[in-house]
Amino acid sequence: MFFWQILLNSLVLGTQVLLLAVPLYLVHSVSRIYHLALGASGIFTAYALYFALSSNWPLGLAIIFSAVVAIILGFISYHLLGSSIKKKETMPGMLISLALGIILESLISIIFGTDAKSLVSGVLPVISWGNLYITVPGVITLSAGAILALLFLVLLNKTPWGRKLISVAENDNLAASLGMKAVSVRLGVFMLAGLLAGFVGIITTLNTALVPTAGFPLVILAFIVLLTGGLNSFKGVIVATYVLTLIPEFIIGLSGDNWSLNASWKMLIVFLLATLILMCRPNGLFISQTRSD
Amino acid sequence: MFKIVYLFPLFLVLVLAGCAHQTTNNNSTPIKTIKLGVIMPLSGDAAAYGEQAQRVMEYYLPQINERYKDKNIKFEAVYEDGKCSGNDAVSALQKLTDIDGAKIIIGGFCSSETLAIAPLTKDGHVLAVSSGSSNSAIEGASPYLFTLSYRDDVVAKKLADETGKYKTVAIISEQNDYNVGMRKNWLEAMKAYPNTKIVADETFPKGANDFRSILEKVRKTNPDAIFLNPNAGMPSQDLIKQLAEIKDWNGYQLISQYMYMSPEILKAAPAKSEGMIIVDSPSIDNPELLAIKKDIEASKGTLTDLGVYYTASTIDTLNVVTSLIAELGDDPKLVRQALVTRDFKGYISDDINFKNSNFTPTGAAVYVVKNGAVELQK
Amino acid sequence: MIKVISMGYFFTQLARLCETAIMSVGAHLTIAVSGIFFMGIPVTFSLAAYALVIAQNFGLSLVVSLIISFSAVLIASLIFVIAYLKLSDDSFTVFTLASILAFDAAVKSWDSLTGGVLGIAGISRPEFVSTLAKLAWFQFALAILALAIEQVILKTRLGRALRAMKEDKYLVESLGISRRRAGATVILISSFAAAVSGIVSIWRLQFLDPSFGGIILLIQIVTIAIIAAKPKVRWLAFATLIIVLLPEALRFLDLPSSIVGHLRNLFYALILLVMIKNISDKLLPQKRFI
Repeated sequence: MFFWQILLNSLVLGTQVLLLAVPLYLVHSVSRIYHLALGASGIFTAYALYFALSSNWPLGLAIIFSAVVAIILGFISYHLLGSSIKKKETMPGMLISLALGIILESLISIIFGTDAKSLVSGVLPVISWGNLYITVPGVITLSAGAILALLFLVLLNKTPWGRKLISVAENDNLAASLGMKAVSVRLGVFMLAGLLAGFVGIITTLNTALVPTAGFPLVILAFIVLLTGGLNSFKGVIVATYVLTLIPEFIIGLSGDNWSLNASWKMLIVFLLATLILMCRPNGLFISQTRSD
Repeated sequence: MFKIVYLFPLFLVLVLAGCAHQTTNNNSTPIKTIKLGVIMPLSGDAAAYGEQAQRVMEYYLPQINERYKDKNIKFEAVYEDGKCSGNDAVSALQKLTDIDGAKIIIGGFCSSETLAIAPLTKDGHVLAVSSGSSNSAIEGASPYLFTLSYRDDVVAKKLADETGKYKTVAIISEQNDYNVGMRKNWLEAMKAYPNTKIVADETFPKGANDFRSILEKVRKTNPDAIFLNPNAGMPSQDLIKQLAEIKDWNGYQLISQYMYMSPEILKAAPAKSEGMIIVDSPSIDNPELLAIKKDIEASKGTLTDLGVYYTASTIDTLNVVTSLIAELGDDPKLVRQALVTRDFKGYISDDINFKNSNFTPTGAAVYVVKNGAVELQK
Repeated sequence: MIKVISMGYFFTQLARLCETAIMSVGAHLTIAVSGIFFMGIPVTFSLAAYALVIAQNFGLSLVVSLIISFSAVLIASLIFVIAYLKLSDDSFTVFTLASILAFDAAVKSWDSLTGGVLGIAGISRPEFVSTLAKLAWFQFALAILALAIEQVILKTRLGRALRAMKEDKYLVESLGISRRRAGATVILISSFAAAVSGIVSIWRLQFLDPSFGGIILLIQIVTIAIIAAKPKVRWLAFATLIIVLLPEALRFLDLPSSIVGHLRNLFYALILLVMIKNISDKLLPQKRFI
């Protein structure tokens, strides 16, 4: 039972990372930019929800408000990164995104303070099967993760929409001559990514607590997952997510007696695992063949 | 062009630095303003403590100034954010001494702040008195450093007395200055109880908020008692909430330190925290202090996290330090000499003294949670 | 009227300026000149400091401790070099970024050696820099030396190779310049510069804990490297002055001390954002038309 409970807890944690890796992957697919501000953007959205709820707004209105905030953040991100996208400047784009993330975190810290807050007071409701248990937000996380993973796996690989995304990233002039508007495709993806990141921010902080700096470690992990899985392989991202979250959780969870490892070693284990994978497969776990002229 | 551009920012900063030190030429000003540097966590996880201690000082300092009006002395507190971090505390001290000219510092509040500034006080150019630092490493850290807090090793010994009653015990600690210090002291104190086995010793990163896997790991060892050792704020709340989620795990005694004295945190999981044993500072029921605390809460805001003891220690620190400065001037060496030779009366104790230690003699008390409230046990 | 200028404050700012300048030489050479987004500078910065202090705590002399410190940094930088040689550019950036978090986790967890979150207090300064003034002037001399070395590097074959790598990393290979060797060399130089900066910083602060280094330091030096986009030393010096000294102005505004730290981070990030948006074309190779 202990093994299965650790597995269940790790799956929830891993799915939180996957939920952030999805928008990161989408943005990269369409723009070749690593949008590191997604983590902070998600937390900003969660704070917007917290603000609305603590101002006694009705729940529905609060959710709509935070969704609008998420979409606006996506819009702002797109316009800040627009020139980098056009010029295919990966690294400057990443730095702009990193700077935006820090701006968002600093603004949250100034406005709300840095002490942790809670979206839900009291003990979270749990669902039990025998000796196993999972919280309701944990169930939502797993369900959302499974649905989104399957949905985007199909959408990106099997549908015209997915092909449109990739073609816009590869050659937007050619895509435009075929009738695809690169600007609207990219803007749409950025706003969708903002919404997804907002959802992740809210669901993660429902399960734990709301702090301004919660987004950055999560996005770094998602970033590592993206590169380890393979930049142009969504399947790789899914596999890499669970490899890089489950294995450290198991190493720490199952360690005991004389060789017990504390949770504080987790980031080091993730780093070592990612290094090992990248050393063996420098371009990621799943490499897609691309044409080169 | 480049030379001017290079020099301009430097010139600007130096001018501003000079302006910060500007003194008036007005010979008719009778009152001497003495700056008290204050280092406390005004942001970050421990901000609640710093902000509440600041409330106590802002409430009490005008009364002190009124007291010494006839001596033409006015105390001015200059606050710097130590962020409960050694690095920031060192920068704060340098700013307070170099720019503001403070020679007497109240702070740090967190042990990490105080331990970091300790070496900088050794030469006697500045003296620091903390109202909240409890790490036993403060003992002997500097001859110009004192604290009115109770000691971690005293509390740890009391905790060990409680946990030593059980056959098996687990400890869950946050990777934070206070908790790491408490853990070390507790492990040392537990050597006196060889029949009690420590079956799990888990540490989580500072600010972590998902402890479910750690709790499963501890559950596997089936301890008779669990010593919860998180820091203030959400970690302590989340830990007890997530413990409460495991509905089919009971039959263990929860033991903790002062983080769980807060009714706000106990409210997070009232059923789970019922019967929890908490070891904290000695109980203070001085009616005058309690009235002051109530007044501060009414006018400035809550002091829930600071609690009765640290409210008292902050007031006592102010009283002791300002009385000595009023008598001897803000000379760190003279003030230090008085601190180590005299006895003082205060709310924390009728016998505040630093004759043999950087700490004033204090004890620890055991409390138990009953019906959502904390009651003194012994 | 200005009555007193605090010399203590002046020397502290001078020291901070010099520490940042020394470290920024490495960031400038990697990020701005050669286009290698090496984010591991805070790791070597902290590693050098920890290795020195731990060695001294074991009773070793200053010279031996310095040798151990630089050896530790050499090993770490060799690991970075191997990563650079084996990984793609993007993966290398992620690897070095993640190394900051990994190092932080290791330092906090291995508390028997590093002091963990409590850190190591009471770090003594060597005799020859026993006062803040002496230390500041020593750092000033080191900073001048570091800038001079960078000036020389930029004029040498290595400097030209680095600039060429940024223009067209494949073409330089066909011209007989080993991109791998040039990249490895500049990563080693960058790590060494960060190590020197870390050691002199710790002599100033006399306290070391896991917050030494980290992501905020990375943002600061990346901002400097981005502003000093041109491969010219005076641009680097100017950028360092601006980034280190301008936030100090915040101290003199009557702001609640609880938000000054966040305002400083906000300031760095805004500068970075504005500078990259305005000069991003200078970050990339200048396109020449024949």
